[in-house]
Amino acid sequence: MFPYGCRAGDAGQETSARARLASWVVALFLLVAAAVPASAGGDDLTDLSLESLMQVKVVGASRYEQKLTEAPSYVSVVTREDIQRFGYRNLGAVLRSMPGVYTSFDRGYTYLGVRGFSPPGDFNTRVLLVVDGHRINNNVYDQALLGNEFPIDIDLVERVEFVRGPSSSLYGSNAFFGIVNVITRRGKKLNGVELSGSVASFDTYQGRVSYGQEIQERAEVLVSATAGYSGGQTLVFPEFDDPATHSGVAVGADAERLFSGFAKVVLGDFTVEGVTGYRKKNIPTAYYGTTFNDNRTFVADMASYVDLRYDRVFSGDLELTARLFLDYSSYYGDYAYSTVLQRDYARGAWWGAEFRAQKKWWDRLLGTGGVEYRNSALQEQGTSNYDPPEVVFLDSRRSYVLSGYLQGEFRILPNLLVNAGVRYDYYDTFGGNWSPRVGLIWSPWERTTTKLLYGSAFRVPNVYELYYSDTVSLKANPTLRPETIDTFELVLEQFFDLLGMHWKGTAAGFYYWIGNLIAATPDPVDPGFTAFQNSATIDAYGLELELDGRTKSGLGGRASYSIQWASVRGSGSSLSNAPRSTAKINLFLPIVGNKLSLNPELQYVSSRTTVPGKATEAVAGYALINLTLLSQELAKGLELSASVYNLLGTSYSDPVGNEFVQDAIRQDGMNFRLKATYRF
Amino acid sequence: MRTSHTDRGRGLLLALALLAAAPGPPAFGGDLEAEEYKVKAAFLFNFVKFVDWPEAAFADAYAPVVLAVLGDDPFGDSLDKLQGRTVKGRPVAIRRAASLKALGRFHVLFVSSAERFDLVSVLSAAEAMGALTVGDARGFRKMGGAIELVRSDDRIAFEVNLDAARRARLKISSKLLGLAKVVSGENG
Repeated sequence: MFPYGCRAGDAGQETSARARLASWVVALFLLVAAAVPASAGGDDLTDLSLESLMQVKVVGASRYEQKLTEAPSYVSVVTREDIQRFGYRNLGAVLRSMPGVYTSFDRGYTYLGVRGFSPPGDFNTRVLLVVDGHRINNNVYDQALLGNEFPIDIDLVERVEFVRGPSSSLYGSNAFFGIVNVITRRGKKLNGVELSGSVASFDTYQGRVSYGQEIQERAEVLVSATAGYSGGQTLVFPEFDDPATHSGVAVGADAERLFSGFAKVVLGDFTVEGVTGYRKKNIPTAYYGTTFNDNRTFVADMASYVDLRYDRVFSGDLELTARLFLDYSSYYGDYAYSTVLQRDYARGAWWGAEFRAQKKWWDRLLGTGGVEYRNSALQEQGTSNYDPPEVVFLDSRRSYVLSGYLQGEFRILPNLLVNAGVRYDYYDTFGGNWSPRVGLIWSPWERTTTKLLYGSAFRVPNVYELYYSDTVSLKANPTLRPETIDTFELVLEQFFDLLGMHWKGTAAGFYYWIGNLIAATPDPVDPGFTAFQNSATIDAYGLELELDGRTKSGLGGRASYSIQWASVRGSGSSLSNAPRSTAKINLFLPIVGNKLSLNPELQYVSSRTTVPGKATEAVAGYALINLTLLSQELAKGLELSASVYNLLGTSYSDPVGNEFVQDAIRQDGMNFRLKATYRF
Repeated sequence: MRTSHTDRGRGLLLALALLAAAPGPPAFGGDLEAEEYKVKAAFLFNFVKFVDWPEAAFADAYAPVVLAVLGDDPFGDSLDKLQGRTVKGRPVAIRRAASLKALGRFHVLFVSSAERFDLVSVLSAAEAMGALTVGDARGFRKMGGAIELVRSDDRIAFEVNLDAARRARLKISSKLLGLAKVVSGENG
């Protein structure tokens, strides 16, 4: 029915595809075969004498878990415990609880704002999303999927780390403002079957079934499946308040469906992880000039991958990691216009391998080196009309990147650490790029750490920015160059005891400048069109303050405040959707030990300017309160939670780009969720 | 052009696979291999044999030796397998909790997380309760822990902080001290 990117006359390619598949199978077989002799050792270790115990060789996963206080970054962590306590429903909700981080939602996708940077129209291209060491950003839009579109159920996540600052020296492109590092749960810890179901406002239901087990010594498995449905809301958009557009009332145009599957198998030194996630969301906003109140307009996203990892520690404090990965991601959306129904889509497939070695010398020097190859076998985007069938736009590419990196962590004095790294990425399309980073980490006193950090990162333009053209308003620009960022940071961390509580205070001051920023701007030749161009230089500086505290009895919380100034060099104009300040407070208050706790959360975001050309100049600042009542182990294996989000019913809106008639999109009012999880 | 890319990719795959399949360094005399925290659990059990607690540390002659884990438990079920075994005539009991208060009385305290910013005060509180503190966070001994489990190549070794043991009124046998990689106070 639809000319869906399948092209004839590629028989030769098919043969080579089959050969490639065969080589994958052979490689897999060899890898698995190598795993078998690695498992040894019994359960009777306790019968050994101390002397013999000291001779037992230790095998298994990564050893050099870095103390966060010694990481060359300001890192925020949200654990599984926090996800349960505060009733976080997706990765976006986890991230927006972190100091200085905010999100926007346009009723399609969730967008992340970091350090005052989140221009409407940016698809989260400037943060790198990594799950268990696997890059998620796709190869057409560079998009990191963060809301319900994130392909993994948030309940399968053990912890989320947000590593601020450029990390291109280890991760390459997209690690621009930071990395979102997601670590999933272990089958061994899940240890049984878990059933979870929730019901929430707006006709929303979600269910999950998971199984995790240690099968035998050094072999464990975790499988899980999730399905969710939301009928959505009847939404009122005053901008469309006209009898011709249903008086601005969008009925049944906000529905969402999602499915995801997750599997992880650990066998000796090998880990295989497979993920697939699908999310379809109806779009009620009538963006891109689509017909208002037409529920045929939707977007659907799918992200899938298989990642095979081998980790082994050899004698001489040498650790090797090898990875093979294969990713497929797709997006498609229908756009209903009065005259035609249009399909917009993109498909991306990439595979690659990474090799990393880490070696420690006399507790003094920890060296890491690696090479990575990533081949984008498919980067395709297109637009077509349904009736009459017509291909409006079609672009298909392939590319590769080959990278090498080195990092050294040198302990000059017991309390002074230098961390320096550099990565070189070679793109067949752009040539080479160096990304350096250096950090000085000094603990003048036992409970004080200071970090002085410099880093440089880059982002290559993606094929959407380079080649997408709709022939009506957006032009391609194949001459785009990579954009860069340079960041300086000073971080101070202090532990102390006060008022019978333990505290940790963090202060981070930063300055960054972005060169050659890629942004959609009016085309110089053809002013009726916009095109992505290397436009402005951005300067920004700011301060982040955080205080964590807890008592011996388990009561605790954290509070943070951040303030930032970002402007365009030359004109001095400020950025859209950039709040001057944000503040967060999270408290966990045990009522009956482990059994019942009350966990309030407060989030404040100051006023944000809208994009140029909108009628209103700015959206007002807002403060939200969310409240979760959590009960664990009321009966054995049972966990119950009740959450109220936006308890005060605060009315607030997020700025959106010029593809919307609206200046900003109003966010959800007070809403609730009830959730039950049973483990056996 | 396209073909050569594919060939290179396949070659890389095979090279990786072959490398992984290649045998590691030869093992001498049938070395035992085990997961890190299985080994560490066995160490915990063994330490009990070489440490003497004052009589008052136990309710009676049959009271169990309590091994406690504070916060995140990295052991999986390898500690549970110790439950009920006897050492020095006493059964072993395992307890886990998020706070010291919830743990009640214990004799050995294992603290795993490197991220506990209350580590120094947790350790001094546990010490005041007469417990042997064991941990594997880098700098554990220097922050006042009694025994720090460390990696030495691909094996586990340990360092002892005699000051901490003394403050907890514990006697550590000379055999244990003899096997320790480092014996010192906090500042050594």
